[in-house]
Amino acid sequence: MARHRESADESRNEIPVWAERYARNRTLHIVLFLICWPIITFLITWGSTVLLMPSGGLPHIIMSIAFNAGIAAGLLWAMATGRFSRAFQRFTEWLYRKEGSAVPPLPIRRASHGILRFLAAVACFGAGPWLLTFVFLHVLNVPPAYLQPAIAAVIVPFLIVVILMGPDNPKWPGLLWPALYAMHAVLTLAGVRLSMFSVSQLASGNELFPTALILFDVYVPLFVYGMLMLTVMHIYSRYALLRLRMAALLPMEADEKGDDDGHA
Amino acid sequence: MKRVMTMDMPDDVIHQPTRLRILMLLSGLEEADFTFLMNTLQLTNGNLSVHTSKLEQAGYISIEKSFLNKIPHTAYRLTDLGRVRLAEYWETIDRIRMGSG
Repeated sequence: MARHRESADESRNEIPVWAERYARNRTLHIVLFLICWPIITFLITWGSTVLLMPSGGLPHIIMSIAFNAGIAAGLLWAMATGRFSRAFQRFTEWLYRKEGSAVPPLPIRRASHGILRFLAAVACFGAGPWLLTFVFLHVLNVPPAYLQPAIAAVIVPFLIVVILMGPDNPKWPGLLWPALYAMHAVLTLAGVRLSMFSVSQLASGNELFPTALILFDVYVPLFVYGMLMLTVMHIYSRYALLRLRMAALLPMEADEKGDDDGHA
Repeated sequence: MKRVMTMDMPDDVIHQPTRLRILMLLSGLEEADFTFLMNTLQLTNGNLSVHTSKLEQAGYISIEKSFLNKIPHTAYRLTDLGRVRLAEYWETIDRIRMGSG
């Protein structure tokens, strides 16, 4: 009886908690999507540019631009009509078909949260790094080697605020992302060479296109650490599922009544 | 004068191991489907169906049946009433425990 009481208390506390943690950390579909998406985009762009314009003549260039514009228009259409999200949902269901579907508690939607998420997306993956790069490089004259730390000084606090305020995200795995990006910046400032390019490559890149190569040093770590965070979340969801199953099988006081009326 | 002792009794619908576990699991989620409940609680098809039907009849959970990619999909949610009754159930259990020392 006493043993049942203790395990009932444990189940009472643990089942809802681990169920929610499991549901919130199911990120494998996002990880796979983020791996596949750049590859598909690259293949389409590479295919259309290299294969469609072997001679480099004007008709081929026009054809290539038209093809890419068609792909972009198709994507926008798929996103606007919801086909993209439905396909993503089907992919998620297929991926987790053996475990079933578990949806975490929905957050209380506030307009400010939506705006904040939109700003975060723009700041992290859209115009944010480009704009910051321009300001740091051309207005403030920050040397290219210190660009990632300069951008991290803006993006890291912003990410922390968004993650802590965002009710959708689990707190600690989410914080791994800004923490790693900040660590990258600190190491760069300490003199550790983390850039993917040599100084001469950066210099030649500057002649061709001012911020193209330098931005790789800003974008790639942001993407890689984001992926790392999502992978950690996926691993954590495996642990949460294990704990949930263990908690769900603990004996409880109600077990003394027995499973007398549930047999089909 | 004869003193009548009244004793709390836990809700009979909830005070059943499988149904209690289903409610506890759903209390941590917005929604879960048949496969998830069956796998996590290690139940059979029929067993889960019988218990979820009883919980639905009591108004403690809602069941939504649909088709996803032509495959039947059943989703379960804890209702507001179910959430209240589950909390009351644990309060009753706590009172019984305190009463029994």
